[in-house]
Amino acid sequence: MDTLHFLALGFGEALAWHNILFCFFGVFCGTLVGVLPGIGPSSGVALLIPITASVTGTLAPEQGATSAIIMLAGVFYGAMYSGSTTSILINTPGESASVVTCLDGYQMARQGRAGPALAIAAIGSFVAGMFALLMLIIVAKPLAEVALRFGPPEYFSLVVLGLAAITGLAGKSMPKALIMLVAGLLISTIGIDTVSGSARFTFDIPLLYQGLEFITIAVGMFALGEVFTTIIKGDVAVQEFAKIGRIMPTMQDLRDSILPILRGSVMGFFIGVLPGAGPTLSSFISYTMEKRLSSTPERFGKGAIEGLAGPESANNAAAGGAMIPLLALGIPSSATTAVLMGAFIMYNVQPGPLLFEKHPAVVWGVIASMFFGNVMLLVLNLPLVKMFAKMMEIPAKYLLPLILAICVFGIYAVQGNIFNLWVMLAFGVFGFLLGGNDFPAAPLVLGVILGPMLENNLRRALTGSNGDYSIFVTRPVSALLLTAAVLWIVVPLLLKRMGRRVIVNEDE
Amino acid sequence: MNKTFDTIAGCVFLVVGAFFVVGSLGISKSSYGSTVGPNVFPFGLGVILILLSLIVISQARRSADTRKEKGAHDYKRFSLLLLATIVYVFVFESVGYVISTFLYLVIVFQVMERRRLFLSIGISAFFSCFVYTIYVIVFQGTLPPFPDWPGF
Repeated sequence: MDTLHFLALGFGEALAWHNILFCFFGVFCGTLVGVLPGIGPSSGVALLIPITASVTGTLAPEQGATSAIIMLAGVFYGAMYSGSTTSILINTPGESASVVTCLDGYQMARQGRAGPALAIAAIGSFVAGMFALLMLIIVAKPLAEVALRFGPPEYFSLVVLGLAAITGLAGKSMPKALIMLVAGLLISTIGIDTVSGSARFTFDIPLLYQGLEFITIAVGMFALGEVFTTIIKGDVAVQEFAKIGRIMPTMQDLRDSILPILRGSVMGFFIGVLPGAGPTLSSFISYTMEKRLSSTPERFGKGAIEGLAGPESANNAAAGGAMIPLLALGIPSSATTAVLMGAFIMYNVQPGPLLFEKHPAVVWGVIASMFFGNVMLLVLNLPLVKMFAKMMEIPAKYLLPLILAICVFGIYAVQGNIFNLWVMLAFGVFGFLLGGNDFPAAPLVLGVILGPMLENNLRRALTGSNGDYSIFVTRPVSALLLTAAVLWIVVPLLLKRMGRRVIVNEDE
Repeated sequence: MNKTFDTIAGCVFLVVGAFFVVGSLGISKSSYGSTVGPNVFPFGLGVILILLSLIVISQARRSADTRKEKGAHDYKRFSLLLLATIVYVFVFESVGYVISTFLYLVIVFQVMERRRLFLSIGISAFFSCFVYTIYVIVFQGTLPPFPDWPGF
């Protein structure tokens, strides 16, 4: 009953007219992000944070936080919905979770079944989104209550696990991903230390006392980096795309998709909850699973609707599932949720077990808004899909410069100084250079966001143990979490050594 | 894998790690109410970064350079764009948001494709004025205003 009571509170919050507007704007932008090339969900969310911050500036802090997070979460799951549109129509995934959607989706489009393919993708996304949301409501609060009993050592180990999980799957080379992570953690130490008050690595420059802001780094690494990469690859040609035609799927299509959608939803959700795995991985696994379960696996890759319905549902369920560790534990499980977490922190709302106690209006408001968001997305992606398909015709030569201009505007708007623009530009160039050579951007941004949490819990734990480091392995829960963290790094390395192909999560 | 790049990047990260290690030696070691001072975390991470850099450098040196020529990369367009962005940030406050953004966009649109000058001018003018009007006049935010040159 407790949960229902809170949910009612959340609906009250989410039904406020301005929050419905924010939710709509969020899922609308998310749909755009999914459709437009050169901008993925993490850069989309990062780019919109400054804009949301300025729009919600007039609201009370707690209300502002609710509205902002409602909108930013909408961008996240909205992008997951519509990433399939470009996969199906022009064989170009709008974000990495829709890579497998190309395989059968584009083939369906070539056979003149683009409309039903889009419809099944939207329906599957909707079912999966709703399923994940229900699970989120059931699981998140109890999980938070378990985590509440964690002391600093357990929390430290939990953060280590989260970091290891994302880094372990972040790129082609483990040492490179780890380097980026450690660099990010080090960047987070710049500034005045909150515990002792001593200035660290600031060179007595007052601008550095606050440290480097996560949003500046995230926009630089993700948004600028992506634009630079697109420009240098010369991917700016306009592609021809398939005609959509009639949208409604046939009964046969629906019958063929229903089981894959349900399987994809359940499996995707559980994968999404795991740190580091996320939507991309879940869509790959779902595709493999559907192919294996099918009585006619030879149809896969030639326009099998099951190969579209399963993965599309799985990636949306995973997006919902990823909200659980973020909200209940304060551990983001992907690059995009890491950016979302940064947004929470910017509003002085710390995700984690205390979130449900301290800010029930924020967290339940966001959860309730996801119901409306899902319905809005179904409308945006079914009847209005033709309109968004038109957006794909916006030439990149106009789009990319505008993204750059929005980056500059956004960072100046929230930070109010030129210094942050230089920092953003520097990280944009770093991100582009490093990213092009398999140094992934996501672990660095994650390190910047989770660094303070890691350090504070480390110091608190060590203070409690009088400087004895063995506290992390003698406490059972902490030891278990650390073991899991080590396994997460070591197992893929071993698999690689054994010559197995390891799926990596390039969730940018 | 690009051998040269990895080696250079490894060296840069090595220097960064060393910088943090040396830097953290200069931070006071303990603080009131905590046995672990503000120096421990960056020091430890700096050491880890150095070790990881050594791994990356040694992997790069051992590996064969498998870099392929991936077709023509558009370095010229990229350099022009980066240069334009640097100039844009440089004059952002002194020239003001509307003028600097307008000029930046016109130039960058033309760098992307040297056609349709009027369309570029139109979009740039619309974007810069639209953002400024909405953000500064409607939402009361702060963006660099027009400069105080005579005539404005």
